[in-house]
Amino acid sequence: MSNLWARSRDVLSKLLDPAEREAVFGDFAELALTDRRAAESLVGLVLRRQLRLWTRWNPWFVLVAVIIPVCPLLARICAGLTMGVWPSLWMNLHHGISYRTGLSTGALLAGLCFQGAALVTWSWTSGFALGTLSRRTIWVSGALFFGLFINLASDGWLFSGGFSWLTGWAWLPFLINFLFVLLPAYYGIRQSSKSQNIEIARMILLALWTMTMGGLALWTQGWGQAALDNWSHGGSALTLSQLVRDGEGWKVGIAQVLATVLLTSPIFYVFAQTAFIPTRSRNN
Amino acid sequence: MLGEFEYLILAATVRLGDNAYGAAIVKEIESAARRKCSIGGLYTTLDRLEAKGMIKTWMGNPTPERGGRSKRMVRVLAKGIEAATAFYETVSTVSHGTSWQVGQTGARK
Repeated sequence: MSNLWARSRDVLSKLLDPAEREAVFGDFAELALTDRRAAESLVGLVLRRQLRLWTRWNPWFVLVAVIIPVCPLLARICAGLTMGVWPSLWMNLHHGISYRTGLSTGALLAGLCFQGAALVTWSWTSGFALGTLSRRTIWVSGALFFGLFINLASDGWLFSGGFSWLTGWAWLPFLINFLFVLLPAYYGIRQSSKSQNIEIARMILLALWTMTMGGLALWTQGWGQAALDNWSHGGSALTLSQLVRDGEGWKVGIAQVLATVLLTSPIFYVFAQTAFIPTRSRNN
Repeated sequence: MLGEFEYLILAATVRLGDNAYGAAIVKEIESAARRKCSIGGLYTTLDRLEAKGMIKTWMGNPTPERGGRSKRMVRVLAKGIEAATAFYETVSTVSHGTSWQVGQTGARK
């Protein structure tokens, strides 16, 4: 039990500023407080500190501009990857059939790589933006981000009959959600805590990379429709070279463009902060 | 008008002088007022007093008895002295001639 109180005290103290944590722990040591009393003392202090931080614009901006728009899109793309691309790939690998998509194995693999890389990039940049724009509320913002994503993504596999928990592809949604979103977002948050002053050149590179990945994802999103159109006209499975040569895939709607812009936007918020707000004035 | 706990903190800080910091203020209040004082409550109230311009806090040097950790030092400013004086005078004035004996004027069972 004492261990639990000590653990609670340590977890709670992480929500304080490092300097204040030092002072508070020094006071605990000097007063020889028990772990329980120390944890109890911290609850009120941490709550008040967090509430005060939420009176500033930073955490609200992160919530409205990053967490709320990005999480549903990431969850949706993950579900698309799980329900669409991976079963198609499985059919290709096991039976050599271009299942549904009308894409060759090479084109399908390339599409998967582009979509996966874009998903990892978007997740990483979202995590990085969370930590950079509102560093002091990262525990709450991070919990909201991961909680919302897991809640939305789980609708695709926890309660649907598409996957059984015991057989077949049950592991797949877990793996995709974890590898393509949760892990990169976590590393993005971690990276943001290590990089207090980001160089503008590095930010430009990051923004360029994110835009490139977004563009590739947008392009490959249209491949399925192009292949389906081709197939319905009696054509054979489209190869990667055909898709590149004929410029297929750009027949995307405004919804896809808007989604890509929203997913790409977090890195531009960080870029704007780095470029236009001096470090000492950020107060985030 | 100050609250009672705010007044206790200001009084303890003035008494401690240059040695006023978190744990020392807690000890001072607990021994003088014979009541429990939590670090969380103290720091929250210090924030409030600092926001009102009554005190100034800063990070002090670490000491061995604190495991090498630094202190949050506190000093009462002129506005804090004024507020504490006004609080004390109000309590003194209102208490003057009041009998606190149970059953007599001004106190009830």
